[in-house]
Amino acid sequence: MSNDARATLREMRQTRTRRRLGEVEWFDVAYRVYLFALVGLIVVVTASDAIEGVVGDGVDTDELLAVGPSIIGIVVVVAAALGLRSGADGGPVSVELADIRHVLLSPMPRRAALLRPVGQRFRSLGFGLALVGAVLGQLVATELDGSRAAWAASGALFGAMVGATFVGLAVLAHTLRVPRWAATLLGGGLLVWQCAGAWWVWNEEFSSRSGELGTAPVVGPADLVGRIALWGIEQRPVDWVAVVVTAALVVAALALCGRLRIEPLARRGELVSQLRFAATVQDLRTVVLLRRQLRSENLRARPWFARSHDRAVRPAPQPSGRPKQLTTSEVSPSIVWHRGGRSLRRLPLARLTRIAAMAAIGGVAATLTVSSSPLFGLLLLAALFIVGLECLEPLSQEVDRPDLTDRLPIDRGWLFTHLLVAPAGMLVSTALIGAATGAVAAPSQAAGLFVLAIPVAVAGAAGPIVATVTDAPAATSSTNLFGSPRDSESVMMPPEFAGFGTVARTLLPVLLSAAGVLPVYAMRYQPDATTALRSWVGVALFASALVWWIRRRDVWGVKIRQFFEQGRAAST
Amino acid sequence: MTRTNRPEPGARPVPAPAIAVEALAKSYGEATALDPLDLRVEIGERVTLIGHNGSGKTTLLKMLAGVLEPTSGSASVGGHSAGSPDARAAVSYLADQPVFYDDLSVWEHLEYVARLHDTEAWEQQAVDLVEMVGLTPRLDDLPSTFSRGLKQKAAIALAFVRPFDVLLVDEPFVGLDRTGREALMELFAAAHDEGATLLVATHELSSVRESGRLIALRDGGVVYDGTPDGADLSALTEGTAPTAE
Repeated sequence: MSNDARATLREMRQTRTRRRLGEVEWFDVAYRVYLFALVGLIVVVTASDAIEGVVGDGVDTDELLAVGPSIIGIVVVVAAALGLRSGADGGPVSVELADIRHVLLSPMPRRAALLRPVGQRFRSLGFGLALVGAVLGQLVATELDGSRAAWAASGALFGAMVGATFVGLAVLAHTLRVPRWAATLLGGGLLVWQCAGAWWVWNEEFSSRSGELGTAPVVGPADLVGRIALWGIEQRPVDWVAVVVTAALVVAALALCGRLRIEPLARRGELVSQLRFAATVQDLRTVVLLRRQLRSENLRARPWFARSHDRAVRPAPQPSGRPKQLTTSEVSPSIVWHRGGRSLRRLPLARLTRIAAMAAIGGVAATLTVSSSPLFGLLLLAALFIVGLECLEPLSQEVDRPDLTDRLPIDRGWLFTHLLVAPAGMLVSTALIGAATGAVAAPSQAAGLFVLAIPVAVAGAAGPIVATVTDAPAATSSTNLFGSPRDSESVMMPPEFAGFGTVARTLLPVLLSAAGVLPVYAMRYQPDATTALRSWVGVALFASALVWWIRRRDVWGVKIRQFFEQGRAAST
Repeated sequence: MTRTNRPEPGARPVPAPAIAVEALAKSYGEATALDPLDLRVEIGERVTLIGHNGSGKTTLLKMLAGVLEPTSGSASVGGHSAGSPDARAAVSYLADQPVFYDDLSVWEHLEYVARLHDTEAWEQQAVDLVEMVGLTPRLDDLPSTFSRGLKQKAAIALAFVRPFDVLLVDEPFVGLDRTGREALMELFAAAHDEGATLLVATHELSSVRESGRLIALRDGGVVYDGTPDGADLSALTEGTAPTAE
């Protein structure tokens, strides 16, 4: 039975692969690969030559060898923690629903069927992170000892090991049925251990033993893996332990993958197919929603705390006759604010924890951006973007349900702007968490952090706000400005412009959120009260413009449409 | 029709009972999908499972098929733990939602499933099945592009093209036209005659009388277990029936 079934599986998969490859436009693929490789190469080489101080001003090779492994090890531990959580939530692989129904429910050994998707997950993530590692290796190669090739190779190996750690631990956590709380505890414990080790090395060991090659102590669980990233400078035989352990993890995961559970695989199979489609069409909100579903992060049935206006109230008897027709001006904005508050009070613990963690990361990244490498601004940007996305739940809920929103007798722009009030409150709290964390990490920057935390958080949320609002279908018409159905936009548009539009749509929110990083960069180069004041004024103007755009967006849309329609009418 | 590829009853010894469920329960957090349930279905029985929406029919079938994991309790098929390789070999599961590969035709699906189950001489069996359900003209088409009814017919063919001892069926009549319904009832009868055990969950009350045993679920628990004759089917599916016999 087994051998025949395996042969059938292999044969059918080969047939399907051939069929898929047969449909590929090879010239188109080759052209894209060529463009990607060319642009990527130019960007990497130019950036690695142009960026100065990428590793950090005043940090030399010896110092990097002393403190680097512990700090770089944090990346590995984060991957390990995420992998453990992913495995506890049913990850990291997803299998086609049809494979689950027809192959995994057949009597053939499941390992034979699951080996390929698990192997693919190892390969795809390992290759992707190896590429990232190689690029980062290139970037630092110009400032440190060691050849470019050595740095690229060590970066690639480190990236691949991070990917293998994530997938391997996820598979093990899944097959060993590690409960979610245990995965969180274990991952969190490893993270705290590694961070504490890095902190200790930075403050104690490094200050007394700096400059001595090879004397960095191993204090964190991922220090040895962290050393792999520095193989561009120096390799030690003991570092191979990390490579062997990672390889053992991969082997164990491949050996046990037959024990992956079918129930979470089926759930993920359904969600991941939707996720891929959403990612293909750059539907950020849907991607976020589906990822939350993958992690079983549902909003709480009951809010964390109830307020008096949350309680069900029996409506007062209505006077006879037709109910009064409300207009926007007659609706109390407090109704919308409360609706936003109710939404945020139902955020699950996992999301609240993530928001707090991102705030803390953002706070530390802000201090490092000012005092160390400007590249930490990218980390701050990522943290700001994620916090913004997480806090916008009330607005997202309305945007996701246009049928409900459009039935309301009120202006949509008015509704959307008032739905930002509760998230703004949450952003302020989050900003203070970030400032407090940053102040602990760098007490000398405490004043600046607390002064700028709120404008930074508010401006950083601009990108998610625009991405969410622009997800709302146009209230005015189902056709575009040229009178064609919106669905046909991409079909009617020349590929060059369609590609540009896609890139712009994807990058615009990120660029807008970058406004949140600007005050931090300003403080890096001119740390005084005037800079802080200017930042406040600038962000206030930016936020006002954003709110005004949301408020008037539909009105402007109608006017522009009318202008084009009049033009078309005149020409015919 | 003759199921030539299926072993004659008794050729593959299956320990009694065909289905055994002990204190089987399923919940999602605080929501209970199935209360602790005890059930025993003997070999060759033809059982219909009814109940209102959310009564636990699909949950029970999915746990028997090994698609869902029980929160507590145990389920076995032919003496093998549900979801184990032996149980998977014995069970054919016709789910309420047909699922197909996007890139395989009906015929390729049939070949794939039949060969994964080590079915000998599956070609004639497949030809007969698609003829019965009326899919012969669409044999080389992609089932993922079919209408709901045609998808259901293709799913029926897939469920029957492989050998089985226990057939688990969830809402099989959804979307089927008269030809499809008749073909399905005929296939049920043939499988039953050959000694297979059938457990069919349905809202189609007209088909209940064909079975020898009726089980009604309400809110995750059994409220009726007996012969269909004399059972107040409307009350059982509306959830107003007296508690279990």
